Amino acid sequence: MKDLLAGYIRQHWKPLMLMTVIWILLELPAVCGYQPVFFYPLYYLTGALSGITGGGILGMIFGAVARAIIYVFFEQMIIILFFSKLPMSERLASCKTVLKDKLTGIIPYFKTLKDLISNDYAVLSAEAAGFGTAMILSRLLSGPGLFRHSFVSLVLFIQITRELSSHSGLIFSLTKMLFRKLGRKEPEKDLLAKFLSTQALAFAVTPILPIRQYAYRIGLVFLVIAAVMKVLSDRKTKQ
Amino acid sequence: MESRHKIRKHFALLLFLITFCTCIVPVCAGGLEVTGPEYFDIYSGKNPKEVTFTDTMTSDSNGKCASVMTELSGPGVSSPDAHVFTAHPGERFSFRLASPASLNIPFFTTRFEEGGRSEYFHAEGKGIYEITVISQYLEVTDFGFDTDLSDTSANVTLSFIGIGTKIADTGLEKEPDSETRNKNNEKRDQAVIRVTASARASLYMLGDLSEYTCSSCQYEDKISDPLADSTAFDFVLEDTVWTISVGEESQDISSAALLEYSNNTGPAGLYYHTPAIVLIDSDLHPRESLPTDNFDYAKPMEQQEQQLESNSLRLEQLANAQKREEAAVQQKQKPSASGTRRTKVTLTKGSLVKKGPGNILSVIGVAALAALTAAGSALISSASSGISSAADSSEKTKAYGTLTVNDGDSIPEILAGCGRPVSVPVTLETADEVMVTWLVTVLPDPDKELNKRLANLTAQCAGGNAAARLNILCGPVSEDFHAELRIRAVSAKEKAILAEKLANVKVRTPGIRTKKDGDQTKVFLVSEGAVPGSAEERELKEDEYEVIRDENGNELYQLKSSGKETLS
Repeated sequence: MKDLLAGYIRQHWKPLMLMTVIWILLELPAVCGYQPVFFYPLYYLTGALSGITGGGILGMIFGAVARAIIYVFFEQMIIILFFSKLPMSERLASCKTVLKDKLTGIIPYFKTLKDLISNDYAVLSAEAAGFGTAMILSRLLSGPGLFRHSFVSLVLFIQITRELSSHSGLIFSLTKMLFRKLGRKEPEKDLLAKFLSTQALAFAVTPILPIRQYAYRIGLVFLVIAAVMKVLSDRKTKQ
Repeated sequence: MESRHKIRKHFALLLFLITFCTCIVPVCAGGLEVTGPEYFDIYSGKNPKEVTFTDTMTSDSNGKCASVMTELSGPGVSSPDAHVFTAHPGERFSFRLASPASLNIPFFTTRFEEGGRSEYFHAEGKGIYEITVISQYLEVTDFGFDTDLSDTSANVTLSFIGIGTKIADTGLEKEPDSETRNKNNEKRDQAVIRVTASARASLYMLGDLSEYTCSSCQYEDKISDPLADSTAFDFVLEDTVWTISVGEESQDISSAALLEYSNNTGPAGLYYHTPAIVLIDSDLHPRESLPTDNFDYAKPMEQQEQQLESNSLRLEQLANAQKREEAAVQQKQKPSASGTRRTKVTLTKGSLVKKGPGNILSVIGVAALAALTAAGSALISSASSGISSAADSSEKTKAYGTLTVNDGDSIPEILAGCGRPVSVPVTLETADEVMVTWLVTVLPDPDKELNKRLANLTAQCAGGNAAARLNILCGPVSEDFHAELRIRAVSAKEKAILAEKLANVKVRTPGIRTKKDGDQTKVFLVSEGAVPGSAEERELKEDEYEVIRDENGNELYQLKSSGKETLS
């Protein structure tokens, strides 16, 4: 991992620096009390103010994580747009292709939404856990719950749908490892996919819900439901 | 060379630690305004000695809304029309809060809105009144604190003005029917409900703050974080004196309750609650100067007039009644104008964004946070690229058709080591006829142990075009495991992926399994099922197996016929 990180920084320090400068340029005026309305789209797309408008140290850390996720999403496009030697028209065409590629998972995901309906307790438990954790994460990552800090939720939705179509990727692998650590020796059939599917759904809807300021509480409710479903599933298995 | 590498490594680590700590310091300092006020954390028990109060909420999208404070007077107040004042220990202020259309003062369990529905009031011992509240206001006198916010007190008079009528002397148990209501409507007259009390203020739980703020604003525009920069007070009324007046008839009563009919047949429910009024320190948005009143006080009068017209009451009657009420408010002396120093009350610390000029600490904080984010980005991106490099993402993909495995059912469990593959159909539905090549891949897993078992699993498709057979075979393995197969239909000509599906299979090793069920041990046998090559688990009856003990005292279960064993 260290070699990977060192190699990455050697190759990609330029786009990283560019994004850092953009964040600083957006954050400094805000810190001085100047948040013009015409910067709002940039705040949204970069997550620049996430975690710096309130929420304490935890808010700051999650805000940094949110910005990092947004950067990773845009990284390839930044490299093509700013550091490629191609003509501008080709750069824009390449960016379009990259963006399109990122969005390939969305339509197939919506086609599988009906599969979320189940009467299996284990499946329902995984789904509720996925939805609850994603609601809480979405709220944490979007600072004080403002819509203009919520682009990270959309990014996570896009990324998860993409990883679900290929069952590979960082989020998929991390979740698989988490499932193993929680005692499931190997991810059982569909549970991992169901967990991530409802996570994606929660990331998509939480920022636009009119009651998103209660995302923590609603997320906790879902986690409680997941625990109850797990107990019911275990009882059914024993029977 | 190596020492240089070590120095670089340590330097990088040191730089990262300094960066991290630097961005935490301004956060822990609890604010970055060098020239501004101190911040207090009320929940930790500290209360500020100087607090600024204002009534104006500012919406990012709607601008200022609902300036409701009038008749303000007290030390340091420049004008009775001001909307902000700063209170120090021992100082007392008076003001009046009106209720324009967009601000609701909650009363009991419901909120009165202008021109709202009728409510039933039970005046204890005096009767039941049906009143439609048209406007309301709160007069606050002697508002202030002696030491800090924990001992804030005031005298309040809460008035509700509307039209209504007395509908029963006592004992009305049912909600009036329509005929009774029509008769009551003819007798409607100006009504006033007034409660006067001394009040102590306690900090209000901010979770419901949005109820008390501009209803025409979006939540996010009003308050970015209710806990970040505002506090509210719940005025708990004590020693209340109630008056209900309808027309010239006035009743002094010990209490009044909002009467709610649960249904027309059962007894009515009575609710006795203390009205709660919230005063908000809403200085959340930058202001260059003191806010100006942009509320059109004529507006509620117009609405009142419309209400009166619809209820066939004379406009002049109500307008005159209102003027009489307003004339009864005592005029206070106007103090001289002076500037105010603001103390913002924060309930949580930790925000870089403050109102007012930034300083060097804030600049360092921002830079440090950006560096932290960059480090996080590098970490996530490198991890992501490391994992996705194993994935095959270079092929062209067309969502061309629908791939179905085993007619939509799950693939049967595979019995390892049986020598016979499980064969299930795979079909591709397309609009056109295409030449198809089928590809099956057993997806690798980051777990090394599992990968060793996966090496024993083979899967291939036999057949061509739109229909084929997927054959899955597993050699002998030591444990059950799950595997994922990726089945692809590829266009023979263009080599583009026409459709793809991921399928999960479970591989079982043959033999006896035991499961504890309370005190009992249940014995199962995994063997070949009805489908060739598939695994089937069935519970063994007691006469089908025997239990033997080895030299260590462990129980071994074996089939009576085959002698296969397992440890319990």
